Amino acid sequence: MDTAITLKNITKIYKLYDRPSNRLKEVIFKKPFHKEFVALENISFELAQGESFGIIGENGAGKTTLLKILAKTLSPTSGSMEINGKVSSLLELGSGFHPEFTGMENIYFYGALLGLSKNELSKRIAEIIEFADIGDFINYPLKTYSSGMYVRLAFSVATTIDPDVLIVDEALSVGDLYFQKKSIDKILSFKKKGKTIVFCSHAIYYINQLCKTVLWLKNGKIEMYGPHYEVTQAYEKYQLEKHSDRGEQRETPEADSSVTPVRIKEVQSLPFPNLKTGDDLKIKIKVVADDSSPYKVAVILKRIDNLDVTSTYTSDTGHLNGDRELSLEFPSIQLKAGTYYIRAYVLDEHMLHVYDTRDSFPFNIPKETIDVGLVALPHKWII
Amino acid sequence: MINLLIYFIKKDFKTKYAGSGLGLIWAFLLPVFQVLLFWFVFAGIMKARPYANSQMPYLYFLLSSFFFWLAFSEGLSRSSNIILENAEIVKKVSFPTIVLPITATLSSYLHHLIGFAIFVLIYTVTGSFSPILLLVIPVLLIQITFSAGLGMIFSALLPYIRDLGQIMGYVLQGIFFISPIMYSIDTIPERFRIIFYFNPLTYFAMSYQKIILFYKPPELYHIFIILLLAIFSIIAGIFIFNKLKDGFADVL
Repeated sequence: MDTAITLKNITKIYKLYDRPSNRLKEVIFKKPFHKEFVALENISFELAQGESFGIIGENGAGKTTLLKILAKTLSPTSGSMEINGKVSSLLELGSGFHPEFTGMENIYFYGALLGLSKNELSKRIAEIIEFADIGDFINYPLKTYSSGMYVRLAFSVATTIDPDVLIVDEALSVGDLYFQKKSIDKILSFKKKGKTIVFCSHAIYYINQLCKTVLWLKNGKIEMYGPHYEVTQAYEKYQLEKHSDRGEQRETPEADSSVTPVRIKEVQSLPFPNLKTGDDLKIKIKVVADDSSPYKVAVILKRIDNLDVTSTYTSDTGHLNGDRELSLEFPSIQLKAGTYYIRAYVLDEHMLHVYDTRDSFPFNIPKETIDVGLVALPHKWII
Repeated sequence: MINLLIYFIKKDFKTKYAGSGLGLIWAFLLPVFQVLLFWFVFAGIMKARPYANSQMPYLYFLLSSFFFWLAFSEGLSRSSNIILENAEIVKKVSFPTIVLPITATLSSYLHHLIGFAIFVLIYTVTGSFSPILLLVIPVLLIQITFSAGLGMIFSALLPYIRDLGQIMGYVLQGIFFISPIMYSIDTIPERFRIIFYFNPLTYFAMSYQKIILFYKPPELYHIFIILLLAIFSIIAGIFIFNKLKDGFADVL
């Protein structure tokens, strides 16, 4: 198969100048007058034609810089890049538009900017207008548009020019729900037509749905590169660990036994780190408490994006006292693929005051079938 | 790219006059006002005569090269700012950015050509028409090439050296005063002439004056000089612009 994009050792270094005049000084004295910020370091990968490719990473990891380099609006400091075919990007939609011009004039102007001839545009103009769905407004100046109509028009032009490589940055949240659906369908139709898609999003769900291979950027470097589920699960796990690390630091003084009479020492889930739908999920909770403080334990099973799946608490057992090691079992757990974790609470006997809370490490249910969703419910097909 | 250029020029003309009541008439009114001012000061107050031994009206003399100067000066000052002005699209859309300075240059010339055409009309109606006047066209083409090259250089430099924008206006004003546009080269004392021979615009202005006022072809060596200048400027312009454009997104 032909390659669509080849990146070799792409590095982007931003030069940070304290004052603009330092830039001039540097030219004259041939000495560096700047600090360097490495936004991307040695990024190499190769994409086959028709592959859809996801980029994930935290804010500031270099995702936008990489997308801009791919869209050719930013040039790398070193390294080489080769893209076969026409590139269209849905980064910052509508930046070439002029508010005084009508929608129609803007379509022609923007199209010209993207490298389309008037003939090519005339052929597609009906399609663009229909997809943007802004009615008579097409003949009015852009300044009369609502922001939704504005991005719809921009999205429509950028996707209708029929690029070979489409670069998408969180553009799925464009317009109203109806248009969002349309734009996702449009992007999927690109995929079906065998076009190459580079997709960057914080929504892991979309990444998993759209992309076959995923690149995880961390501090400008490739942290992981591979099949989608492997990378996204590792990324989600990393994010959670990072958050719980922070949480621990924050809660350490609170969890001090002199202040809090009841503490959770450990929350453990088994099997770990992977289990299958139908396995027995066991949770072990170690509580340290002084004898004079009755407490109850509550547990929430959460998906990595903080969705509460289910919860339960020690209601029938009366109050607990003293150090305890509790076990909770979910026999034959009917959760579907995803990353989950357990959040345990110790509360006072009225279940009003939270003594302490602690999260388990996240565990995975690997994706084995194509079905989606949260839980498997008993069901039957009648055909 | 030509396609893109046409769109940019159209857009430029439209945005310039969008929302202004008199529209394109301003393109003519403003230069006329400037011309009247010069006419009043030089012909009215100072009783200047462009050439010692002729009765040439001062107004004709001024107009023969004034529009070309206006186009040159506006073209250069607009091109220098054009990348900064369009920072949004330069940063966010990938397209041949070199069309931006070319647009600024061409649209300035188109703009002032309207004024020049009206002048030629009046001039030929009150005087006479000679085919020699058509020689203005090649000289003008050479001048546009020269302008476009300079425009590329300054448009590419300005995002890096913004202070340049502050001084451009004054430099252009200075060049205007040391160009034989308000006065003829004949009236300049011999010891100062050397300055004028180092000013490229001298050769352009003198060529126009020769063609329009005297119906004579310009000096061959003048044409040679401006042709060299134009070729040098456009090559340097394309080279420097291409060298510097990669960093635009970083400095804007």
